[in-house]
Amino acid sequence: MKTILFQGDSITDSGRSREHYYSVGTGYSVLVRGKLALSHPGKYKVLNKGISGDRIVDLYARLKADILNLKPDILSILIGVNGVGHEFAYQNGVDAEKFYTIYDMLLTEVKEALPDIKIILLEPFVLCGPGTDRPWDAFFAEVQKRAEKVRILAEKHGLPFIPLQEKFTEGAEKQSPAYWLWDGLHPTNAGHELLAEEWLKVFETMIEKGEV
Amino acid sequence: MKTILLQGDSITDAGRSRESDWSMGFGYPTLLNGRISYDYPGQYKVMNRGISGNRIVDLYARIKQDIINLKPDILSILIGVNDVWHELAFQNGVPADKFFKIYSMLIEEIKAALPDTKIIILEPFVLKGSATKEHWEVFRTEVPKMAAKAREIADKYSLPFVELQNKFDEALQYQDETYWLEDGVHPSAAGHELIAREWMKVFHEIENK
Amino acid sequence: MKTILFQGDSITDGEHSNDNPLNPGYCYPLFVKSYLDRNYPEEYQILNRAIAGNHVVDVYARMMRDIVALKPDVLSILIGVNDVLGWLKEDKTSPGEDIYYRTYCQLIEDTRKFLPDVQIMILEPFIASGMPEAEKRGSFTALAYRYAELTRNIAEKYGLTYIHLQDKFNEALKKAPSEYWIYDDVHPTVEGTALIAEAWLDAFRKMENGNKK
Repeated sequence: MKTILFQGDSITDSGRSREHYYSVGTGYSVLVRGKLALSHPGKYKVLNKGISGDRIVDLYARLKADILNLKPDILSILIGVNGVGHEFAYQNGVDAEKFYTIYDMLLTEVKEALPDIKIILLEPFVLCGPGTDRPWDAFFAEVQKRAEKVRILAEKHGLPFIPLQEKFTEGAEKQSPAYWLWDGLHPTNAGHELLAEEWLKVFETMIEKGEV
Repeated sequence: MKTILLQGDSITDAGRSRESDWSMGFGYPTLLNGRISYDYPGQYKVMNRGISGNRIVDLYARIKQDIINLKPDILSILIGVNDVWHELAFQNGVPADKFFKIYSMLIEEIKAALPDTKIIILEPFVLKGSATKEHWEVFRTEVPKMAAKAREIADKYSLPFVELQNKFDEALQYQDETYWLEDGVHPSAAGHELIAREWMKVFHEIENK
Repeated sequence: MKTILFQGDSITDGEHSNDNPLNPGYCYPLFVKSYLDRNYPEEYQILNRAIAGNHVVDVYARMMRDIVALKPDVLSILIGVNDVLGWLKEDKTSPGEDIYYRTYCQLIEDTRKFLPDVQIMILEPFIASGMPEAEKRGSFTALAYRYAELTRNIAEKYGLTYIHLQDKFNEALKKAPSEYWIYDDVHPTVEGTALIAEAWLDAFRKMENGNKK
């Protein structure tokens, strides 16, 4: 059985239990795990070690305990919005250049320690809501910078990249932004389902190619 | 009034309050606070932001909130023993090269953000004790590597360096290991006093300049 | 917008919040809600009022507050495994199959009395019968199958949508070991939860298509 590890911030964390090693919360990772059980029963073990509030530097500090030591076959990372949000809220963010530098170090060290690992990078995304209206234009511009960095990192390291911002923006044209991201940051059940869908699209093509 | 910020792991933390700067724990920060506020009335505000369990990567993650945003005039850093210890305890350590790399990034970012801040580097130290005896051979060789890297950092950025390992080694001629470091890592009252005295020597040199 | 109400025990409860509609718990209602919200925006409202440890008599006792007052268009019930487990206990904490059957019937009839248009979906109580531990407890498997049969009879009697789960789990055991689907004889893992959700959604689609015709 191959291990899929989901890493990130509160969007990934999604209320997972810290006591139960296998708890994956109520977000996209549990949906992915359920759908994979139906389509590929017994083939994947899914872990979630996302931690609410994490910025790239926090994830980097957890590199050994929460990534390398778990020896995942597949690592999925969604991070970036707290680097923006925590700057507006607490002047404790991570600027886009540093975000890139540390993310790059993280990926390099993961590949060095686990050369056969498949890494999937997810685009950070936001919509206008109470969590992002600080004001919205400034917040969105900053998140877009992070999104661009993730895209560049995916290219640099030859990794699959899952675009998400556009999907959420499209969704918000039909329903309200809050229908998908209840505070502009955190997905609702519908938002998580969208995330899981997009993730599985990419993952299924990796399965077809025999990569995972 | 100038601000002195003490940063590090449990040795610096020493049970400080997370709510107020009034309670600074039972370690060298409190001893320094007493000494400095008595000797230099109204001139310095001392702050302790050490956090138990921190390795260099954890301190680096806290750089903005717990260092740069506080705009200290003097910053004192004592870190390194957990980078060795957590590898043995949880396979979650930081090797010496990475320790040096992240420590350099930390210093460079602080210098860029706060060019006038004086930074003091303290040497990580270890003795044989209840926490270290099982893997003493590793502690005995690995902690000095971190100490050497800390010294390299001080040299590279021309920062004052507080030697501590040889002071603790010398102190063993008077009393045994546990007298100074209760478990081989965490200082006793006497051990904290030793750190405070060595620290003050360097502080006076900075002051006299 | 149609209201779908989930009733049951711990297999449905999943630490859901009654106050926060964004939190349907971590059991199959989560999968159902995520899927329906994504694919049929604003067509369905999902409520979960299951309570861990419930027997059918407990659900019946809560009927007015936790079913009727919520006026669901669709009521989904998964109950029974605690009735089985309780009957096997030395101090018999559940009332046995006659009262199970009668109370379940009463629950359906009384719900319909107050909510004549409600569509009711019954999920089959199931166990990990393929597990060696459960096999050793022969009486457990036999009794669980008996309660499943009674539940099926109730669905037939009232012409309700019935969702077969025991067969589905038994089928799944051919693809992956028992503990992959059910971790302690009765509680599904995430994987088992997905299986329930899939069966539920299949039945729900058929029901909705029927409604449109």
